[in-house]
Amino acid sequence: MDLSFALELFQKSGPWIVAVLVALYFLRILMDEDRSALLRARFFKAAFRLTGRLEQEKGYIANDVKGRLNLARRRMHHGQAVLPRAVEIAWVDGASGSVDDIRDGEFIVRLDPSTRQEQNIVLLATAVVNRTTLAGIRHSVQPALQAAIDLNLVRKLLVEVGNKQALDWFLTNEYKALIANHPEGSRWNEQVLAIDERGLFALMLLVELEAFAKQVYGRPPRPYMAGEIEGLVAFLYKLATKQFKQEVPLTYKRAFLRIGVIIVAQTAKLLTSIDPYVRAMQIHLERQLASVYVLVFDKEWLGEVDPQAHARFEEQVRELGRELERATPIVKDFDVRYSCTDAAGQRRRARCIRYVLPNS
Amino acid sequence: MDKETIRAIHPSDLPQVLASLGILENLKAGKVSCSICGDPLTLESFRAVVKIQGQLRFGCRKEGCSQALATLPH
Repeated sequence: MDLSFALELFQKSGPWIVAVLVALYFLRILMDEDRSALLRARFFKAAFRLTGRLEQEKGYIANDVKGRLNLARRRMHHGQAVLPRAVEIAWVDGASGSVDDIRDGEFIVRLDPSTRQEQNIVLLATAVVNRTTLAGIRHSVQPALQAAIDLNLVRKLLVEVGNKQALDWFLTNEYKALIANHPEGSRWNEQVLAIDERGLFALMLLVELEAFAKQVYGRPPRPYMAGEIEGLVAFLYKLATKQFKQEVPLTYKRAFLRIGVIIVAQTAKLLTSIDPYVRAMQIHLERQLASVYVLVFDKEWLGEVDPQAHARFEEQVRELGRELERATPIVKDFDVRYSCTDAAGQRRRARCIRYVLPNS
Repeated sequence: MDKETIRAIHPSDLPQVLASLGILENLKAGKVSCSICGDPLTLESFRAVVKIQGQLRFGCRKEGCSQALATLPH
């Protein structure tokens, strides 16, 4: 709403309409737990500046971190997978700090004063990622790969938080040092970064790791589990670094992970017919894959040189989606539009649709 | 919504919390070490504590120590 519109509204409708709009604005915030936490953080911060009281500083630190991290996490959320989990902060003081008050497995972290809030954000982002991702399969992931996945998830969370000081502090003090500390850290990190640049880190790697964790829940760690996860990373890395017209494997089938990929990128092929893609889906299903990802790379340049062909491309993609759901038993899990970096280093818009076989 | 509750200690409460855990004097005497890197802990370098099978484990501020502590199997 610009100022002239607000002024015109005020002149026409009087102060009541402004009061109603302000009330609606605050109602929207109050109905959202995380936005209201950020609002509370502002009040606590102002109160702490005025009074210097410890309780108000704690209120600011906890509400600010919680609101920022949980809102960022919601923006990262894809489909039904919830990675990492939302965070709640509870203060421990001397009265509630005896050994018996700590549950087995409970993690308690010492924060910094509010003047170093960016470090508190990093610390709690790291803690929640460490505590809630790769749950149930950490024992099957080698430490260097764990570090690469955790660090890149924290990095993505902090990018979504939008606090540049926190991101800078994390990259300078944690990210580089931790990658350097692991002998194999750089190699895994390069692969995870390449997967992320193509947009497949949150959309495929984390989603499949979560599906894997559900399947192996309660089983003792076995070497083939580690091999399955490392093979998944290698499979996605080949996909992420695929050059134009380069042949790469489009299926990954192991004991638990059974994934297929259909890439929709060749304009001429799609404009001719959707049949090859429907057939590809049928082949994936005949191979009893549990999930199939359709990756569509946008043809914005086509819209500039041939708008009609671009419109037809878009229509064919929609038709493909309808036909896949009509002609096969698959069910759409999620459909996410995102931007990524292609093999030539150009930013591109893309779309990732995950289909799953019912009861798989 | 499924949430992860993380308990936090404000720096000004730290001596009191460590005293109630019964480790303040030992920590001040340099007798408490980081369970990951082995460095002696101080009030300034203390970063995290986790209870694993009834035993308290501690982490320091050094990069990687509190991360490693957070992911210890329990």
